[in-house]
Amino acid sequence: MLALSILMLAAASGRANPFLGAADSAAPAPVAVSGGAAPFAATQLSFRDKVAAAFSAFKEAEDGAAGSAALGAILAGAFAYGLLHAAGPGHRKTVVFSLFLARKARWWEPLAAGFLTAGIHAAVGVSLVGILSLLSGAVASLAGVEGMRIWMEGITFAVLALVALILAIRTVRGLLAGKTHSHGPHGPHGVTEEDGEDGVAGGKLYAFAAVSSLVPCPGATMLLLFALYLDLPLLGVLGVLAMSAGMAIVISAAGYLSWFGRSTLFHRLKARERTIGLISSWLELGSFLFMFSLSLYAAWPFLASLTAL
Amino acid sequence: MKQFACILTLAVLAADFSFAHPHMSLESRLEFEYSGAVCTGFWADWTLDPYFSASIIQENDLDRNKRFDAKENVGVHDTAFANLRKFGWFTYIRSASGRFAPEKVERFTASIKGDRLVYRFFVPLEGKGLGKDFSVAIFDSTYYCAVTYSVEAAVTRQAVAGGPLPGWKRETNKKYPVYYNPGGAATDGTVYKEWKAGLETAYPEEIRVRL
Repeated sequence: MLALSILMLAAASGRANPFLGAADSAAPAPVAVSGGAAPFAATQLSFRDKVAAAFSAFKEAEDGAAGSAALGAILAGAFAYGLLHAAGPGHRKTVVFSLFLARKARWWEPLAAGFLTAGIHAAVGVSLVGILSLLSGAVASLAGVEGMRIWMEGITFAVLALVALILAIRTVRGLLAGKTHSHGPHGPHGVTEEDGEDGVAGGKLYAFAAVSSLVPCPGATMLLLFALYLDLPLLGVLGVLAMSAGMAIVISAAGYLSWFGRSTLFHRLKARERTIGLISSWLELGSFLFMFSLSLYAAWPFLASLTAL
Repeated sequence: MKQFACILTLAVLAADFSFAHPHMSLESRLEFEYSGAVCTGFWADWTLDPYFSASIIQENDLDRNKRFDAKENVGVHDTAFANLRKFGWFTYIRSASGRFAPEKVERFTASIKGDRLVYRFFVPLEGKGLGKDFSVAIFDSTYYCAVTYSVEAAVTRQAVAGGPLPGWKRETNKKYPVYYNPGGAATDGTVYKEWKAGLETAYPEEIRVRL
Protein backbone atom coordinates (compact mmCIF):
# COMPACT_ATOMS: atom_id res chain seq x y z
CA MET A 1 0.00 0.00 0.00
CA LEU A 2 2.81 2.31 0.88
CA ALA A 3 4.48 1.46 -2.38
CA LEU A 4 1.29 2.26 -4.21
CA SER A 5 1.05 5.60 -2.45
CA ILE A 6 4.56 6.35 -3.53
CA LEU A 7 3.97 5.52 -7.16
CA MET A 8 0.77 7.48 -7.16
CA LEU A 9 2.48 10.65 -6.12
CA ALA A 10 4.93 10.30 -8.91
CA ALA A 11 2.21 10.48 -11.46
CA ALA A 12 0.50 13.52 -9.97
CA SER A 13 3.07 15.83 -11.36
CA GLY A 14 1.18 18.03 -13.71
CA ARG A 15 -0.72 18.58 -16.90
CA ALA A 16 0.05 18.48 -20.56
CA ASN A 17 0.86 21.68 -22.37
CA PRO A 18 -2.52 22.85 -23.77
CA PHE A 19 -0.85 24.77 -26.61
CA LEU A 20 0.81 21.80 -28.22
CA GLY A 21 -0.66 19.47 -30.81
CA ALA A 22 -3.04 19.99 -33.67
CA ALA A 23 -6.73 20.63 -33.02
CA ASP A 24 -7.59 17.27 -34.53
CA SER A 25 -4.47 15.49 -33.31
CA ALA A 26 -4.61 11.82 -32.42
CA ALA A 27 -2.36 12.13 -29.38
CA PRO A 28 -3.59 10.65 -26.11
CA ALA A 29 -5.25 12.92 -23.61
CA PRO A 30 -3.29 13.80 -20.49
CA VAL A 31 -4.22 12.52 -17.05
CA ALA A 32 -6.78 14.51 -15.07
CA VAL A 33 -5.49 16.84 -12.39
CA SER A 34 -7.57 19.03 -10.12
CA GLY A 35 -7.11 22.73 -10.35
CA GLY A 36 -6.25 25.50 -7.98
CA ALA A 37 -3.49 28.01 -7.94
CA ALA A 38 -0.27 26.58 -6.56
CA PRO A 39 1.51 28.57 -3.87
CA PHE A 40 4.34 30.85 -4.98
CA ALA A 41 3.27 30.47 -8.63
CA ALA A 42 3.99 34.06 -9.58
CA THR A 43 7.30 34.16 -7.68
CA GLN A 44 8.60 30.93 -9.17
CA LEU A 45 7.71 32.05 -12.68
CA SER A 46 9.51 35.30 -11.98
CA PHE A 47 12.68 33.38 -11.02
CA ARG A 48 12.24 31.25 -14.11
CA ASP A 49 12.19 34.31 -16.32
CA LYS A 50 15.30 35.66 -14.57
CA VAL A 51 17.11 32.42 -15.31
CA ALA A 52 16.21 32.75 -18.98
CA ALA A 53 17.54 36.32 -18.99
CA ALA A 54 20.75 35.11 -17.33
CA PHE A 55 21.20 32.41 -19.98
CA SER A 56 20.93 35.08 -22.67
CA ALA A 57 23.34 37.34 -20.75
CA PHE A 58 25.86 34.49 -20.54
CA LYS A 59 25.57 33.91 -24.26
CA GLU A 60 26.22 37.57 -24.96
CA ALA A 61 28.85 38.12 -22.25
CA GLU A 62 31.91 39.86 -23.65
CA ASP A 63 34.29 39.18 -20.79
CA GLY A 64 34.91 36.68 -18.02
CA ALA A 65 33.43 38.84 -15.29
CA ALA A 66 30.14 39.25 -17.10
CA GLY A 67 30.09 35.54 -17.87
CA SER A 68 30.75 34.63 -14.24
CA ALA A 69 28.02 36.96 -13.06
CA ALA A 70 25.59 35.41 -15.52
CA LEU A 71 26.63 31.91 -14.46
CA GLY A 72 26.02 32.81 -10.83
CA ALA A 73 22.63 34.25 -11.71
CA ILE A 74 21.69 31.07 -13.59
CA LEU A 75 22.67 28.75 -10.76
CA ALA A 76 21.15 30.89 -8.01
CA GLY A 77 17.97 31.54 -10.00
CA ALA A 78 17.56 27.90 -10.97
CA PHE A 79 18.10 26.86 -7.35
CA ALA A 80 15.44 29.32 -6.14
CA TYR A 81 13.08 28.24 -8.92
CA GLY A 82 13.54 24.59 -7.91
CA LEU A 83 12.94 25.46 -4.27
CA LEU A 84 9.65 27.22 -5.01
CA HIS A 85 8.60 24.75 -7.68
CA ALA A 86 8.97 21.80 -5.32
CA ALA A 87 7.06 23.71 -2.64
CA GLY A 88 4.06 23.30 -4.93
CA PRO A 89 2.25 20.04 -5.52
CA GLY A 90 3.85 16.77 -6.53
CA HIS A 91 7.59 16.35 -6.89
CA ARG A 92 7.87 13.35 -4.55
CA LYS A 93 7.47 15.19 -1.25
CA THR A 94 4.84 12.70 -0.20
CA VAL A 95 7.01 9.85 -1.43
CA VAL A 96 9.77 10.79 0.95
CA PHE A 97 7.28 11.71 3.65
CA SER A 98 5.83 8.20 3.36
CA LEU A 99 9.24 6.60 3.28
CA PHE A 100 10.22 7.94 6.68
CA LEU A 101 6.80 7.52 8.19
CA ALA A 102 6.95 3.80 7.57
CA ARG A 103 10.41 3.00 8.81
CA LYS A 104 13.08 4.08 11.20
CA ALA A 105 15.99 5.81 9.62
CA ARG A 106 19.26 7.43 10.41
CA TRP A 107 19.43 11.21 10.62
CA TRP A 108 20.97 11.70 7.21
CA GLU A 109 18.56 9.48 5.28
CA PRO A 110 15.83 12.07 4.61
CA LEU A 111 18.49 14.33 3.12
CA ALA A 112 19.87 11.49 1.02
CA ALA A 113 16.39 10.44 -0.14
CA GLY A 114 15.55 14.02 -1.13
CA PHE A 115 18.67 14.33 -3.24
CA LEU A 116 18.22 10.82 -4.66
CA THR A 117 14.70 11.49 -5.93
CA ALA A 118 15.54 14.99 -7.18
CA GLY A 119 18.67 13.64 -8.84
CA ILE A 120 16.78 10.91 -10.68
CA HIS A 121 14.10 13.44 -11.61
CA ALA A 122 16.79 15.62 -13.21
CA ALA A 123 18.62 12.72 -14.83
CA VAL A 124 15.44 11.43 -16.46
CA GLY A 125 14.64 14.88 -17.83
CA VAL A 126 18.16 15.32 -19.21
CA SER A 127 18.15 11.79 -20.64
CA LEU A 128 14.76 12.20 -22.28
CA VAL A 129 15.79 15.43 -23.99
CA GLY A 130 19.16 13.90 -24.91
CA ILE A 131 17.72 10.71 -26.38
CA LEU A 132 15.01 12.49 -28.35
CA SER A 133 17.61 14.94 -29.66
CA LEU A 134 19.92 12.13 -30.73
CA LEU A 135 17.08 10.29 -32.42
CA SER A 136 15.93 13.36 -34.33
CA GLY A 137 19.40 14.60 -35.12
CA ALA A 138 18.51 18.04 -33.78
CA VAL A 139 17.40 19.58 -30.51
CA ALA A 140 14.30 17.71 -29.33
CA SER A 141 11.04 19.49 -29.89
CA LEU A 142 8.98 20.62 -26.91
CA ALA A 143 6.02 18.74 -28.35
CA GLY A 144 8.07 15.55 -28.56
CA VAL A 145 9.17 15.79 -24.93
CA GLU A 146 5.63 16.62 -23.77
CA GLY A 147 4.22 13.75 -25.81
CA MET A 148 6.51 11.27 -24.09
CA ARG A 149 5.60 12.66 -20.71
CA ILE A 150 1.89 12.21 -21.38
CA TRP A 151 2.45 8.54 -22.19
CA MET A 152 4.61 8.02 -19.09
CA GLU A 153 2.03 9.65 -16.82
CA GLY A 154 -0.95 7.92 -18.36
CA ILE A 155 0.60 4.47 -18.18
CA THR A 156 1.73 5.07 -14.59
CA PHE A 157 -1.79 5.96 -13.46
CA ALA A 158 -3.30 3.04 -15.34
CA VAL A 159 -0.88 0.62 -13.67
CA LEU A 160 -1.60 2.20 -10.30
CA ALA A 161 -5.32 1.67 -10.77
CA LEU A 162 -4.77 -1.96 -11.67
CA VAL A 163 -2.44 -2.63 -8.74
CA ALA A 164 -4.83 -0.89 -6.33
CA LEU A 165 -7.69 -3.07 -7.57
CA ILE A 166 -5.67 -6.26 -7.13
CA LEU A 167 -4.65 -5.24 -3.62
CA ALA A 168 -8.25 -4.38 -2.73
CA ILE A 169 -9.39 -7.81 -3.91
CA ARG A 170 -6.66 -9.46 -1.87
CA THR A 171 -7.72 -7.50 1.20
CA VAL A 172 -11.36 -8.53 0.72
CA ARG A 173 -10.30 -12.16 0.44
CA GLY A 174 -8.29 -11.80 3.63
CA LEU A 175 -11.23 -10.27 5.46
CA LEU A 176 -13.55 -13.04 4.26
CA ALA A 177 -11.02 -15.58 5.50
CA GLY A 178 -11.12 -13.95 8.92
CA LYS A 179 -7.64 -12.48 8.79
CA THR A 180 -7.12 -9.04 10.26
CA HIS A 181 -4.05 -6.96 10.69
CA SER A 182 -2.24 -7.12 13.94
CA HIS A 183 1.20 -5.78 13.83
CA GLY A 184 2.27 -6.38 17.36
CA PRO A 185 5.39 -8.38 17.99
CA HIS A 186 3.41 -11.62 17.98
CA GLY A 187 0.54 -10.89 15.62
CA PRO A 188 -0.91 -13.40 13.17
CA HIS A 189 1.38 -12.27 10.40
CA GLY A 190 4.36 -12.17 12.66
CA VAL A 191 5.01 -8.70 11.33
CA THR A 192 6.41 -5.97 13.49
CA GLU A 193 6.82 -2.31 12.89
CA GLU A 194 10.54 -2.89 12.78
CA ASP A 195 10.14 -4.93 9.59
CA GLY A 196 10.30 -1.68 7.81
CA GLU A 197 13.80 -1.20 9.05
CA ASP A 198 15.45 -4.22 7.53
CA GLY A 199 17.51 -3.88 4.44
CA VAL A 200 15.08 -5.60 2.12
CA ALA A 201 12.02 -3.55 3.10
CA GLY A 202 14.06 -0.38 3.22
CA GLY A 203 15.58 -1.16 -0.14
CA LYS A 204 12.15 -1.72 -1.66
CA LEU A 205 10.91 1.59 -0.35
CA TYR A 206 13.93 3.37 -1.76
CA ALA A 207 13.38 1.56 -5.03
CA PHE A 208 9.79 2.77 -5.17
CA ALA A 209 10.94 6.28 -4.37
CA ALA A 210 13.41 6.03 -7.22
CA VAL A 211 10.83 4.64 -9.63
CA SER A 212 8.42 7.38 -8.64
CA SER A 213 10.96 9.92 -9.87
CA LEU A 214 11.01 8.58 -13.40
CA VAL A 215 8.40 11.02 -14.74
CA PRO A 216 10.34 14.12 -15.82
CA CYS A 217 9.39 17.61 -14.69
CA PRO A 218 8.32 19.91 -17.56
CA GLY A 219 10.00 22.81 -15.78
CA ALA A 220 13.38 21.10 -15.93
CA THR A 221 13.05 19.89 -19.51
CA MET A 222 11.99 23.34 -20.73
CA LEU A 223 14.99 24.89 -18.99
CA LEU A 224 17.32 22.40 -20.67
CA LEU A 225 15.72 22.89 -24.07
CA PHE A 226 16.15 26.64 -23.69
CA ALA A 227 19.87 26.19 -23.02
CA LEU A 228 20.19 23.84 -26.00
CA TYR A 229 18.60 26.40 -28.30
CA LEU A 230 21.31 28.82 -27.17
CA ASP A 231 23.90 26.12 -27.80
CA LEU A 232 24.80 25.99 -24.11
CA PRO A 233 24.24 22.29 -23.29
CA LEU A 234 26.62 22.07 -20.32
CA LEU A 235 25.16 25.19 -18.77
CA GLY A 236 21.70 23.72 -19.30
CA VAL A 237 22.63 20.57 -17.41
CA LEU A 238 24.14 22.70 -14.62
CA GLY A 239 20.94 24.72 -14.48
CA VAL A 240 18.85 21.57 -14.19
CA LEU A 241 21.15 20.30 -11.43
CA ALA A 242 20.87 23.59 -9.54
CA MET A 243 17.10 23.46 -9.93
CA SER A 244 17.10 19.89 -8.66
CA ALA A 245 19.22 20.85 -5.66
CA GLY A 246 16.58 23.40 -4.72
CA MET A 247 13.88 20.79 -5.12
CA ALA A 248 15.91 18.31 -3.06
CA ILE A 249 15.95 20.69 -0.10
CA VAL A 250 12.15 20.86 -0.04
CA ILE A 251 11.73 17.11 -0.59
CA SER A 252 14.21 16.40 2.20
CA ALA A 253 12.28 18.74 4.48
CA ALA A 254 9.18 16.61 3.90
CA GLY A 255 11.26 13.58 4.91
CA TYR A 256 12.47 15.24 8.08
CA LEU A 257 8.90 16.22 8.92
CA SER A 258 7.85 12.59 9.11
CA TRP A 259 11.22 11.51 10.55
CA PHE A 260 10.77 13.79 13.55
CA GLY A 261 7.09 13.06 13.99
CA ARG A 262 7.24 9.33 13.50
CA SER A 263 8.60 8.20 16.87
CA THR A 264 5.89 9.87 18.91
CA LEU A 265 3.08 8.88 16.55
CA PHE A 266 4.10 5.25 16.31
CA HIS A 267 4.74 4.93 19.98
CA ARG A 268 1.23 6.14 20.81
CA LEU A 269 -0.46 3.93 18.24
CA LYS A 270 1.56 0.88 19.17
CA ALA A 271 -0.05 0.58 22.58
CA ARG A 272 -3.48 0.22 20.94
CA GLU A 273 -2.38 -1.84 18.02
CA ARG A 274 -4.02 -5.16 18.89
CA THR A 275 -7.42 -3.59 19.46
CA ILE A 276 -7.47 -1.86 16.14
CA GLY A 277 -6.46 -4.76 13.93
CA LEU A 278 -9.90 -5.20 12.37
CA ILE A 279 -10.35 -1.47 11.88
CA SER A 280 -6.94 -1.37 10.21
CA SER A 281 -8.00 -3.99 7.70
CA TRP A 282 -11.15 -2.10 6.77
CA LEU A 283 -9.25 1.14 6.56
CA GLU A 284 -6.74 -0.55 4.32
CA LEU A 285 -9.51 -1.76 2.04
CA GLY A 286 -10.98 1.72 1.98
CA SER A 287 -7.58 3.12 1.13
CA PHE A 288 -7.09 0.71 -1.76
CA LEU A 289 -10.52 1.52 -3.13
CA PHE A 290 -9.80 5.23 -2.73
CA MET A 291 -6.54 4.89 -4.61
CA PHE A 292 -8.17 2.79 -7.27
CA SER A 293 -10.88 5.42 -7.76
CA LEU A 294 -8.42 8.29 -7.80
CA SER A 295 -6.04 6.52 -10.17
CA LEU A 296 -8.83 5.52 -12.51
CA TYR A 297 -10.24 9.05 -12.42
CA ALA A 298 -6.83 10.43 -13.35
CA ALA A 299 -6.07 7.82 -15.98
CA TRP A 300 -9.51 7.83 -17.56
CA PRO A 301 -9.04 10.69 -20.06
CA PHE A 302 -5.78 9.06 -21.16
CA LEU A 303 -7.28 5.57 -21.43
CA ALA A 304 -10.43 6.78 -23.17
CA SER A 305 -8.39 8.68 -25.71
CA LEU A 306 -6.39 5.56 -26.62
CA THR A 307 -9.45 4.00 -28.23
CA ALA A 308 -9.62 6.93 -30.64
CA LEU A 309 -5.99 6.66 -31.77
CA MET B 1 0.97 0.05 12.29
CA LYS B 2 1.88 0.52 8.68
CA GLN B 3 -1.79 0.84 7.84
CA PHE B 4 -2.05 3.99 9.89
CA ALA B 5 1.07 5.34 8.31
CA CYS B 6 -0.51 4.67 4.96
CA ILE B 7 -3.78 6.34 5.89
CA LEU B 8 -1.86 9.45 6.88
CA THR B 9 0.05 9.21 3.65
CA LEU B 10 -3.18 9.04 1.71
CA ALA B 11 -4.44 12.18 3.37
CA VAL B 12 -1.29 13.98 2.32
CA LEU B 13 -1.51 12.43 -1.12
CA ALA B 14 -5.04 13.68 -1.57
CA ALA B 15 -3.97 17.17 -0.64
CA ASP B 16 -0.97 16.91 -2.93
CA PHE B 17 -3.08 15.64 -5.78
CA SER B 18 -5.57 18.45 -5.55
CA PHE B 19 -3.44 21.20 -7.07
CA ALA B 20 -1.92 21.66 -10.46
CA HIS B 21 0.86 24.15 -11.04
CA PRO B 22 2.03 26.34 -13.90
CA HIS B 23 4.94 25.43 -16.13
CA MET B 24 4.62 28.38 -18.49
CA SER B 25 3.08 31.82 -18.59
CA LEU B 26 1.61 34.38 -20.93
CA GLU B 27 0.86 38.08 -20.67
CA SER B 28 -2.41 39.13 -22.23
CA ARG B 29 -3.63 42.41 -23.67
CA LEU B 30 -7.08 42.92 -25.24
CA GLU B 31 -8.24 45.46 -27.84
CA PHE B 32 -12.01 45.86 -27.99
CA GLU B 33 -13.52 47.08 -31.25
CA TYR B 34 -16.84 48.92 -31.22
CA SER B 35 -19.18 50.00 -33.96
CA GLY B 36 -21.48 52.45 -32.27
CA ALA B 37 -22.83 50.79 -29.14
CA VAL B 38 -22.03 47.27 -30.34
CA CYS B 39 -18.80 45.41 -29.65
CA THR B 40 -17.88 43.62 -32.87
CA GLY B 41 -15.08 41.67 -31.28
CA PHE B 42 -11.70 41.98 -29.66
CA TRP B 43 -8.08 41.35 -30.51
CA ALA B 44 -6.05 39.29 -28.07
CA ASP B 45 -2.29 39.82 -27.89
CA TRP B 46 -0.49 37.15 -25.94
CA THR B 47 3.20 37.45 -25.14
CA LEU B 48 4.55 34.01 -24.25
CA ASP B 49 7.30 33.28 -21.71
CA PRO B 50 10.94 32.97 -22.91
CA TYR B 51 11.10 29.15 -22.65
CA PHE B 52 7.97 28.40 -24.65
CA SER B 53 8.90 31.22 -27.03
CA ALA B 54 12.35 29.75 -27.66
CA SER B 55 10.90 26.31 -28.41
CA ILE B 56 8.29 27.51 -30.86
CA ILE B 57 10.64 29.97 -32.55
CA GLN B 58 13.33 27.30 -32.86
CA GLU B 59 10.91 24.85 -34.42
CA ASN B 60 9.09 27.20 -36.76
CA ASP B 61 11.34 30.10 -37.76
CA LEU B 62 13.08 27.83 -40.20
CA ASP B 63 15.03 30.55 -42.05
CA ARG B 64 16.09 32.12 -38.71
CA ASN B 65 15.15 35.62 -39.84
CA LYS B 66 13.21 36.40 -36.63
CA ARG B 67 9.98 36.59 -38.61
CA PHE B 68 7.30 34.10 -39.42
CA ASP B 69 6.36 34.12 -43.08
CA ALA B 70 2.95 32.87 -44.18
CA LYS B 71 4.02 29.23 -44.26
CA GLU B 72 5.79 29.44 -40.91
CA ASN B 73 2.77 31.20 -39.44
CA VAL B 74 0.61 28.26 -40.46
CA GLY B 75 3.13 25.97 -38.80
CA VAL B 76 2.92 27.87 -35.51
CA HIS B 77 -0.86 27.94 -35.72
CA ASP B 78 -1.20 24.24 -36.41
CA THR B 79 1.32 22.94 -33.89
CA ALA B 80 1.23 25.47 -31.04
CA PHE B 81 -2.12 27.27 -31.14
CA ALA B 82 -4.85 25.20 -32.80
CA ASN B 83 -5.02 22.81 -29.84
CA LEU B 84 -6.31 25.69 -27.69
CA ARG B 85 -9.67 25.27 -29.39
CA LYS B 86 -10.19 22.37 -26.97
CA PHE B 87 -9.77 24.89 -24.14
CA GLY B 88 -11.93 27.64 -25.61
CA TRP B 89 -8.73 29.59 -26.33
CA PHE B 90 -8.64 30.23 -22.54
CA THR B 91 -11.33 32.85 -23.18
CA TYR B 92 -14.35 33.26 -20.91
CA ILE B 93 -16.92 35.90 -21.94
CA ARG B 94 -19.61 36.96 -19.48
CA SER B 95 -22.62 39.19 -19.91
CA ALA B 96 -25.97 39.57 -18.20
CA SER B 97 -27.26 36.57 -20.12
CA GLY B 98 -24.51 34.31 -18.86
CA ARG B 99 -21.04 33.06 -19.65
CA PHE B 100 -19.87 31.57 -22.91
CA ALA B 101 -16.72 30.63 -24.78
CA PRO B 102 -16.03 31.90 -28.29
CA GLU B 103 -17.06 29.59 -31.10
CA LYS B 104 -14.10 30.57 -33.22
CA VAL B 105 -11.15 32.90 -33.45
CA GLU B 106 -9.81 34.53 -36.63
CA ARG B 107 -6.80 36.15 -38.24
CA PHE B 108 -4.15 34.44 -36.12
CA THR B 109 -0.62 35.75 -36.52
CA ALA B 110 2.55 34.85 -34.68
CA SER B 111 5.42 37.29 -34.42
CA ILE B 112 8.71 37.67 -32.55
CA LYS B 113 9.41 40.68 -30.34
CA GLY B 114 12.89 40.52 -28.84
CA ASP B 115 13.16 36.93 -27.71
CA ARG B 116 9.43 36.56 -27.12
CA LEU B 117 6.75 34.90 -29.17
CA VAL B 118 3.61 36.97 -29.57
CA TYR B 119 0.24 35.61 -30.67
CA ARG B 120 -2.41 37.95 -32.03
CA PHE B 121 -5.89 36.82 -32.97
CA PHE B 122 -9.39 38.21 -33.26
CA VAL B 123 -12.41 36.97 -31.33
CA PRO B 124 -15.56 37.93 -33.30
CA LEU B 125 -18.57 38.94 -31.22
CA GLU B 126 -20.97 40.24 -33.86
CA GLY B 127 -24.49 39.05 -33.27
CA LYS B 128 -23.82 38.34 -29.61
CA GLY B 129 -25.53 41.53 -28.44
CA LEU B 130 -22.52 42.65 -26.44
CA GLY B 131 -21.46 46.22 -25.89
CA LYS B 132 -23.08 47.88 -22.93
CA ASP B 133 -21.57 45.86 -20.09
CA PHE B 134 -19.66 42.62 -20.38
CA SER B 135 -16.48 40.96 -19.19
CA VAL B 136 -13.72 38.84 -20.66
CA ALA B 137 -11.35 36.62 -18.69
CA ILE B 138 -8.28 34.89 -20.07
CA PHE B 139 -7.78 31.87 -17.89
CA ASP B 140 -6.30 28.38 -18.25
CA SER B 141 -8.41 25.97 -16.25
CA THR B 142 -5.66 23.33 -16.43
CA TYR B 143 -3.32 25.75 -14.62
CA TYR B 144 -0.50 24.65 -16.90
CA CYS B 145 -0.20 28.21 -18.14
CA ALA B 146 -0.28 31.14 -15.73
CA VAL B 147 -2.01 34.15 -17.26
CA THR B 148 -1.25 37.73 -16.35
CA TYR B 149 -2.42 40.99 -17.93
CA SER B 150 -0.12 43.69 -19.18
CA VAL B 151 -0.07 47.02 -17.36
CA GLU B 152 -2.33 48.42 -20.06
CA ALA B 153 -4.53 45.31 -19.98
CA ALA B 154 -7.05 46.60 -22.52
CA VAL B 155 -7.82 49.35 -25.00
CA THR B 156 -11.11 50.21 -26.67
CA ARG B 157 -11.58 51.51 -30.20
CA GLN B 158 -14.61 53.08 -31.85
CA ALA B 159 -15.17 52.65 -35.60
CA VAL B 160 -18.02 55.15 -35.84
CA ALA B 161 -16.87 58.73 -35.88
CA GLY B 162 -18.25 60.51 -32.85
CA GLY B 163 -19.48 57.24 -31.34
CA PRO B 164 -19.12 56.57 -27.62
CA LEU B 165 -15.81 55.17 -26.42
CA PRO B 166 -16.34 52.52 -23.76
CA GLY B 167 -14.23 52.32 -20.62
CA TRP B 168 -12.77 49.26 -19.00
CA LYS B 169 -11.48 48.07 -15.69
CA ARG B 170 -9.70 45.01 -14.40
CA GLU B 171 -11.38 43.16 -11.55
CA THR B 172 -11.88 39.84 -9.85
CA ASN B 173 -15.57 39.21 -9.58
CA LYS B 174 -16.43 36.84 -6.75
CA LYS B 175 -20.10 36.71 -7.79
CA TYR B 176 -19.43 34.97 -11.07
CA PRO B 177 -16.98 32.09 -10.74
CA VAL B 178 -15.79 29.96 -13.61
CA TYR B 179 -16.77 26.30 -13.27
CA TYR B 180 -14.73 23.75 -15.14
CA ASN B 181 -14.31 20.03 -15.33
CA PRO B 182 -10.73 19.03 -14.45
CA GLY B 183 -11.27 15.51 -15.76
CA GLY B 184 -12.58 16.55 -19.13
CA ALA B 185 -10.62 19.68 -19.85
CA ALA B 186 -8.61 18.20 -22.71
CA THR B 187 -11.64 17.35 -24.77
CA ASP B 188 -14.48 19.14 -23.06
CA GLY B 189 -15.02 22.80 -23.88
CA THR B 190 -18.32 23.01 -22.05
CA VAL B 191 -18.98 26.28 -20.27
CA TYR B 192 -20.84 25.43 -17.09
CA LYS B 193 -23.34 28.01 -15.88
CA GLU B 194 -23.74 26.50 -12.44
CA TRP B 195 -21.77 24.21 -10.18
CA LYS B 196 -22.26 20.49 -10.52
CA ALA B 197 -20.60 17.57 -8.77
CA GLY B 198 -17.05 17.10 -9.99
CA LEU B 199 -16.57 20.67 -11.16
CA GLU B 200 -13.89 22.97 -9.85
CA THR B 201 -14.39 26.67 -9.15
CA ALA B 202 -12.08 29.55 -10.06
CA TYR B 203 -12.27 33.33 -9.87
CA PRO B 204 -10.10 34.60 -12.69
CA GLU B 205 -9.38 38.28 -13.19
CA GLU B 206 -11.71 39.82 -15.76
CA ILE B 207 -11.56 42.80 -18.05
CA ARG B 208 -14.93 44.50 -17.68
CA VAL B 209 -15.98 46.79 -20.53
CA ARG B 210 -18.82 49.30 -20.13
CA LEU B 211 -20.38 52.00 -22.20
